[in-house]
Amino acid sequence: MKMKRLLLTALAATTMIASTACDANKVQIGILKFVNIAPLNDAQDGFVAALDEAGIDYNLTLKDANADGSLVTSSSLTLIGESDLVLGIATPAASGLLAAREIKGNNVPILFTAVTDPVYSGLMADDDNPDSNITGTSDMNPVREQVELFTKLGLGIDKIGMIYCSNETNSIVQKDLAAAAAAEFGLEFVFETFSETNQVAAAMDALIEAEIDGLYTPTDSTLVSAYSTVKAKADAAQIPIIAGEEACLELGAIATLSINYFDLGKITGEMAVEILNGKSISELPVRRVEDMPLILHVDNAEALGITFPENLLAEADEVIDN
Amino acid sequence: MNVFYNIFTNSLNLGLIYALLGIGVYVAYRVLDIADLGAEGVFPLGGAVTVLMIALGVPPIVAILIAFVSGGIMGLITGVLHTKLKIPSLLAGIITMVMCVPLAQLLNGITSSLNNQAKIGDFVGSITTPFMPTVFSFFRSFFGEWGYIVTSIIVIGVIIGALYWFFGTELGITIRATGKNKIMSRAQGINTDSRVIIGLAISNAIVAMSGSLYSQLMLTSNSIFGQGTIVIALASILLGEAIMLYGKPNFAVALLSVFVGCFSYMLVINLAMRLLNDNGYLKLVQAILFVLILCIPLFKKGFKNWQKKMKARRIDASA
Repeated sequence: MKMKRLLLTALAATTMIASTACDANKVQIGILKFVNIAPLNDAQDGFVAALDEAGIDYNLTLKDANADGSLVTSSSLTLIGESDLVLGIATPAASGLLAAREIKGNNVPILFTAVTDPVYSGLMADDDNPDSNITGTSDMNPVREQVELFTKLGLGIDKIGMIYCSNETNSIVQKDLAAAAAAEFGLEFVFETFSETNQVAAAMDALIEAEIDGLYTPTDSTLVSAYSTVKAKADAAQIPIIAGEEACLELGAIATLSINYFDLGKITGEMAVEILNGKSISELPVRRVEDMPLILHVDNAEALGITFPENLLAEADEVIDN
Repeated sequence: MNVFYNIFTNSLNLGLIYALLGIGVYVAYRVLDIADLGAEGVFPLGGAVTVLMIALGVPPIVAILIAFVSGGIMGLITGVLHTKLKIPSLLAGIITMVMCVPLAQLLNGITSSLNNQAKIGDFVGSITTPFMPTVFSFFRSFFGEWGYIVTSIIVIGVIIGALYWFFGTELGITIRATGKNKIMSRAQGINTDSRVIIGLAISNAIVAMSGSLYSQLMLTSNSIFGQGTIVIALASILLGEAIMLYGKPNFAVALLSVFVGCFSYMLVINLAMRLLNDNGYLKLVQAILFVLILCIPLFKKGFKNWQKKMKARRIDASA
């Protein structure tokens, strides 16, 4: 009796597994998401929306790696073995898919999105000439334009500071970009790093002692988790903050040019449609979001006694004013 | 059938590499009877060392050996912290684990600096090197996907053989004795401190080797990919024991059981992944599985008792 029931259960499971892999006529699309967080989910929604808009008849398999190395590997191997096109959301997912393709020895086209710098992380040698059947979209924030905002505030800012977590690869890339941008706009640039959030206060003190007039905060998830400390220190010294991402406006920054991950995913989806329609990946260089809305937070600025110049307010796509 | 073939090969591919991790942890956990959490840090460190060495042009096999040595050094540190500084073994392992992560990031930074991306001294979380030669390249050119499996089987075979030989030597036997009964071993004139240190060094060296193979499989070094490895290792050990060990097993068979456990574990994860379209619940399934694994000896005992009872009842009835 027991044996029979066991066999039946096994049979049921087998059919369920087998049924997930039929529909040979549809395009099999696999998505590997590194971890379940809002920006990555938005990118995924945008990707799917672009496929739907183009009227592609597809079958979607979604795997979430839960930020776990062994799951990245097993999910990548699964997806690569049975898809016509795969999408990796965030760098570890993309690199997992790339390795899985090596192991399986096939040539499934790989797209990535929400990767800050595909060359820096080793996914490709040249983002303008994808030559290894992998391409996608980068979520690099417009550091140069964000730093430029300091000059548009009309406050006569000439020395800016930056604080970031030394463990975050993305932040190191952004620091180099910010330093270059500051030089371009004639701003003096100093930076402080920390490796754990309990060092944030000391790093902020060092910046304030260096007499900065403005603070730039990059897209850095460790920094965001300690943003209240940054804000308190900056407020005490009356220093305005310009942030790398929209989420920091709620936490006290006065302005940003933000990235919309849904749009980013949608651009990636459009690339997928082009590939499915027969375009070669070598003709699809890495794309970025073209228009990034300027968002100003008037309340946070007023608390510091800053009023935005009229022309900046006119330029803004969104003004938060309660 | 393609699906089942994929499930099988994927589980085997990962199962073999994590089995090496399991064998490393087995040496600390079962032979020495020490819960060493250092594996979570040593695993990515082994990967980072390997990726750097290969990027510097060292042959992959030599890179594995260097990773092996680096893991051994970390094990040595855990051992010294535990035996000489009297830090509890769990904490000593955690200290090593914490130490390994920034070290791996520094090594990643050096690797990245080789192609003019980061600067030496930068902490880089992850680096992908899609075009690096690996230890798998040779057999891959003959057998394709199975080349990876063949390579891993050879490596595991060598390690199991070497451990079987080593734990039969005088030094090896004294290490096993230390793990079984420290006080008695010391009474027999064994220097237990040095045995614990050597044992931990071997354990961590094998874990680093597993990390080395993993990073060559995945062509990447990521400082957070050690997270969860200790769970995989312990689950493999316990599942393997539950599946194939009865009574007093031979040492080599015990090591082989770690592989069987690891393969089964990966098989279940891969199956679960097919059943759940979204991986969201996967950790939950993994946790339930873990509980079930730990209960298998209990089930076995219960089944035996039930059999005895039935037998007794039959005898009663016939009397």
